[in-house]
Amino acid sequence: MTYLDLHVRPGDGRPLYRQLIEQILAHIASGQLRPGERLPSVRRLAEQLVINPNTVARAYRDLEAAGTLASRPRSGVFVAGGVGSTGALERDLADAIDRVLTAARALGLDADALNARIEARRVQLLTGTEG
Amino acid sequence: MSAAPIIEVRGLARRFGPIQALGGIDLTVERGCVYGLLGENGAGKTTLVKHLLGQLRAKRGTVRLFGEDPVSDPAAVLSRTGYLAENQDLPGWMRLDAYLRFLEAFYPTWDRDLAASLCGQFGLDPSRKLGKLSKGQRARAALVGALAFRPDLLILDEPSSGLDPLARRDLLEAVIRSVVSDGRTVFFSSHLLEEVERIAERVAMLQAGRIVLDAPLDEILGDHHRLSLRFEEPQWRAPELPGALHCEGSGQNWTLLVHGDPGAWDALVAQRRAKVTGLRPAGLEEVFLGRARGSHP
Repeated sequence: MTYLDLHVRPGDGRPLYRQLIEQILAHIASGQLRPGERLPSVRRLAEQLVINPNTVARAYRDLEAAGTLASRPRSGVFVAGGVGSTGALERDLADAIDRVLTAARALGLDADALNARIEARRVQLLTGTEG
Repeated sequence: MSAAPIIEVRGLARRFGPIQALGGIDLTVERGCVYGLLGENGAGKTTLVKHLLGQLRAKRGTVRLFGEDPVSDPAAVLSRTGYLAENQDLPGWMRLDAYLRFLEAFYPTWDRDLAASLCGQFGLDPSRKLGKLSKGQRARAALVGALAFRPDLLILDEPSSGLDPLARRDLLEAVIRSVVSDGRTVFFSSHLLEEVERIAERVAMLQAGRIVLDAPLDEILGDHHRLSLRFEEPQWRAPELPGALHCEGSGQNWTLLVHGDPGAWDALVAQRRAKVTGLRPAGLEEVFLGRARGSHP
């Protein structure tokens, strides 16, 4: 079983299970967690983080539903296929879009101006030129 | 009756002279739930807990633990309920080991190995007199007494008030371990919101003897936002925005605590010649403080 350096920050406004989901996805993206590796059990992680076990169970359940994790009876929870086009990522994207739209509205950008900014940034990232 | 809730309170009201300490409380704690009760000092938390323990008789309304009335059948209720309070009274002249043997005689379900293992985890010396223990060690000793008979229900009333961070962490860890290993039902009151957010699944907020909010914690966090507004004209008083739970700011910048879909505010905000400049989820502390202060900052 892989040790995971996870932490939760109560008071941050995001439910703790969402914080766990984001960190597990980040560990997979960074390669610290690889496909096929086993995650700590719900009990163990709840004790490690001193949080309610249902919070851990909910994070695992959502990541399983998204196809990021898979549970095998009696042997635990494993990383499935890495970060694919999954439900959890879809939700993260939807949240990010909401934040972008809020900021754009606050700046008074219309749809064309916003799209132009997104396209300009996309090209920057593709070509590696610093923004 | 295995489906009966562990705690069921209906219409509980209590008055002490001119003071309405509890004004019609309804709450249900299901088996296996960790239920956090928030409230300012004087909101009625301890009065409620005293009713649960049968130390106060319900004059109006009903209180049931495991389906039983804690006043008419205290043995049935207290033999299944572990209790830890702030500044718990312990017999100071007794040694810890003698105290634990004394408790063992009361509880048929006492688990001596668990008591010994908790003492070990907490670094408690069984030969010490309780009166010689530090405040933190006394709280740990009291928790050993509350957990070692593997109660179906654990009631904690401001358990970590006045304790140092290490003692608080030891207490929380022991409570989480007992939830993890035994699926214990826990009812705890606290004003340490980070602690509540860590371990509670459901949170109720008590304000002047009434429950003003009672919902799963994830739902509370998901449903409350802080919405920042920029008005075209400076506002000399808090703007009247019906439905805002709390409003703070000055001049052109005001921030609201709102419940429900923040998009629902767009029309009203535009009508007041303001625009939304920020939106973020509210933390539990912000929800609690905002609701406690209300719409008048």
